Amino acid sequence: MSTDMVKAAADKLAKSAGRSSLDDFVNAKTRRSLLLVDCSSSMNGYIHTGETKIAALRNVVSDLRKTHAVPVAAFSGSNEVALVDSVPAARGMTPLHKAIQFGTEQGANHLIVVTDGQPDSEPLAFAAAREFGRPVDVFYIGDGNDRGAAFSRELAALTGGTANLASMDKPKELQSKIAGFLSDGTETL
Amino acid sequence: MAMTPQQRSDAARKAAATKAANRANGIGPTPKAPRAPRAPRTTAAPAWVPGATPRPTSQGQRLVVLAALEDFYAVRMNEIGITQDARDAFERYQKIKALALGPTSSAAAQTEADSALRMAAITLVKLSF
Repeated sequence: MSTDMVKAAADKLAKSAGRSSLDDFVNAKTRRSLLLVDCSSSMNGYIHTGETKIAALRNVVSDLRKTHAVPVAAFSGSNEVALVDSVPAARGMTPLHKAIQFGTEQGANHLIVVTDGQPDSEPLAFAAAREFGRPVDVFYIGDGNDRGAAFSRELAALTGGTANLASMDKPKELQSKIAGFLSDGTETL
Repeated sequence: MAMTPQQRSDAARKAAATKAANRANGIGPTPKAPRAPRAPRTTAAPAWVPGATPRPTSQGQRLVVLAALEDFYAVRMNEIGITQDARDAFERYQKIKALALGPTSSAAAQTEADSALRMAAITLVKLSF
């Protein structure tokens, strides 16, 4: 057994020693989070800085991934979902149900959705979430009083996740809040 | 009857011409391709470096085993679900582990840490299997 293995084991044990609960300990090792980002055409809207929401989100995700090794999938177009290294250009519709199904197929056990609107189909999105069966945390970019925000709350409640309001005018805040739902990935099995 | 020098010379010339004609017509054995240069011999890295690679210890191996047991325990709990009893047992395990991984400034402390590490491993085996 090499000294590297012994050192790695000692580091892992020290890290897990800091877990305050069994739930925390298990989550750190077994949680497979997938970040689903809405790249529908509504994300081409502008924010107060003069840039588009999609450009701001691109920076948020890029900065987030410097410290948190979370895979990202973009959903847009006509039922298009794909893993991405960088948030792509915004276009088309909001196939959230397809994105959640993608998460199920990829073996994720935790989804974080960042969206600014209503999905193409709320019933299909709810059905996909039930099928997924694990927590879906939602970050809704917009007015907390519209139907989109209400849908986000219902989706999170259905899955045992949390619904959060976010503003692309405060990208660091959004980045920090998303990071709060993620582990750094160093303990993930 | 032995051939005269002239006859030998004519025969050799004829044989060479026939060989050349056959080669031109694709008849006969193809010439061997030039041999590829042999790859330089590489020596496998030694399994251990005398004077540099530390000797393995049972303490180190225990740490590796314990870390692997923790991974197994996490996956097992994720599969079967976490109960309050499991949470309480984990809390006790964390305390034992803290003793095992704590600083050892004396031989007595090292002995205590070794015992705690043994106990931590046994506890995890009981919780996991």
